Amino acid sequence: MKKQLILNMAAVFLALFMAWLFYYESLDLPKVAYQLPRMLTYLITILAIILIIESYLKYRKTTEEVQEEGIMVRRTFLFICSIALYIYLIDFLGYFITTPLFIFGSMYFLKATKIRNILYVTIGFTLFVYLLFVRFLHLPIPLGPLS
Amino acid sequence: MENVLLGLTNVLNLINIVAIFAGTAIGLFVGAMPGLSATMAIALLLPLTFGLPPATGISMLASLYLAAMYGGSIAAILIRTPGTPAAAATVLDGYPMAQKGQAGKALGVSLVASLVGGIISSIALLTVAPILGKIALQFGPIELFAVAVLGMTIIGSLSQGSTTKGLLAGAIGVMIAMVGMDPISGAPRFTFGYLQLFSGISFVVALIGLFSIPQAIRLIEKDIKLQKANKITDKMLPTLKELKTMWVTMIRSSFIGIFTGLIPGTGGDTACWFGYNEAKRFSKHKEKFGTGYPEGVAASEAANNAVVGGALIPTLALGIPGSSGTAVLMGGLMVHGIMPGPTLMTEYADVTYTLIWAVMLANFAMFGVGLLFTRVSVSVTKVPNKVLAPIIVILSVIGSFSINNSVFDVGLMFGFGLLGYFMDKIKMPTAPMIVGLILGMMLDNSFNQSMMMSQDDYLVFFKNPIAATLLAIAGLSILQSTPLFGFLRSKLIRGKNP
Repeated sequence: MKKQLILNMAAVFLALFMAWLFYYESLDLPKVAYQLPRMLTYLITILAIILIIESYLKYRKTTEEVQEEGIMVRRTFLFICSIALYIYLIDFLGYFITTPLFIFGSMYFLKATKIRNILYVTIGFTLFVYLLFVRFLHLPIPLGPLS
Repeated sequence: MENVLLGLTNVLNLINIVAIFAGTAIGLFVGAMPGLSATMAIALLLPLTFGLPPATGISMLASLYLAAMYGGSIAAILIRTPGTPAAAATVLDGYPMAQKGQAGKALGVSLVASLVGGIISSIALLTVAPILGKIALQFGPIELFAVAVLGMTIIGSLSQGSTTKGLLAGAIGVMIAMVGMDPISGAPRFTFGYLQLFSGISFVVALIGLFSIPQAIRLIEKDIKLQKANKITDKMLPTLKELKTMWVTMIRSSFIGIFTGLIPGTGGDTACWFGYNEAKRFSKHKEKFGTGYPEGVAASEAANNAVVGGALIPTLALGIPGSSGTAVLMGGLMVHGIMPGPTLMTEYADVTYTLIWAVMLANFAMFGVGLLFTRVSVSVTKVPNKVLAPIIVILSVIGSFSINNSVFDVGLMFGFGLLGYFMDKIKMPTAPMIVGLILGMMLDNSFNQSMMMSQDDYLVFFKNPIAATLLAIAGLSILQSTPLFGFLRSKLIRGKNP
């Protein structure tokens, strides 16, 4: 329950930060543009305060710690980082270099299946995306050095 | 009537029929994969529909949504893992049937029940939505503001978990919808200096991020071993004699599904349990439920498929999505320049009525595709989650890029993905945020128009009887989910029985 309380407080912090940020940004706006957003910032602040009270009361009432099935933190964190890196590199290396690298790299790291199958999926899926989005839908995908 | 016929003529175009069958086939496979949800699949496929006429694209997505409801039962019956949350109750009787060597029969009952539920709800959609749409046409900005507030509060208060978190998610969604140029003054709002944000945050970008990235991360964060799938060795279609014993259950569950779908915030996951429990309550053989009783499968499957038509009623008539699936469909309409609201049934009647007929036709397509491909779809239930996760990421990236051909949007999508994952961890529902994003523009416009009409009198919403009633219901829906309501109710009961 303590973990849930901490997470709820993080949510409250995030909501209050967003409300403050939007309120601050609304200071230079004309009335017609800030009226509703400002009301929303008040509403978010009120709801965040209610959530603090609600979470605290729940925490005080519950004595038992609910055991949740743990997640593999390191693996999850690295997977998220690999997505961020993949997106960052698209602009420089192009979609058709980063995509096969991401598919192969992440599946290998996750030990998704045999290396031969990973290769098949990597080639097959990259080809599928190329045919569908570039050849069929004519999407101007960043090609990087391949352009 | 003219519009109804127009929709029927449109839907019978070859391209629309092909789109419906394609959507149905994709939906069947997506539903059968426990790692994928129908909502996520619609979000990922949405960019693919850009090149299609609006009616065709939306019909394809609606067919996918409907077929995924049945597809969810395949994994539920064969591997004891619901393919979609809406098939959770199907496991109770479907899996024991499969273990008895009746997997085919269980799937056949599920298919027929899905067809019955789908057809009844399509009829409801075809008849109720136009009537409701006509009423909604009388609404001005004041009433529309109240309708949007009601939609937001109901979906917030009925979402799973804490009402406060649901409402908070909805309010943040509306706030995000405000990003971009103010429609009246033209002033850039909350763009933080980014030129790319001047036209606002693309709804589809947010949607792909919120539904796909958290799903991809969830798939790899734990090691889940796949269960061995039961084999289909028997005949699929039930006999007429067997069906006769289930008719009443199917029809009852269908109506339960429609009403559950009508209420924003509740969807197939609620309807399947509701339908199942009611079937058990009315049954003469209560003891057979949970032991591999076909009626149990029929009850939950008719209910979850009936949700689709029910949820589309408020979506099309009022512009308020009944579920996250219909919210994404609505996003599809917005992508094609069709704004949600009461004008959907008049101004965009050709698209809306084509969609309604497409839902009807998709039921038959689902039945045909289901009969042909259910045995094949067993293989997709075996695809490992760790293979699915990177593929979801790839599709999310290309999907979000294709909206404005912008890598900035891909980054934004990833940001929403992380937000969605965080919300999942703190048990804050994402559905209200999606609805907030959709209704944000409607709220903003109707609020500003109301203020101009009333010369900045906030009480204008309470002076209008319809708006006041709707806002009172909204207030009540919040109140009923707070501890205060429980306290008042216990006081009342004590007062009556001292």
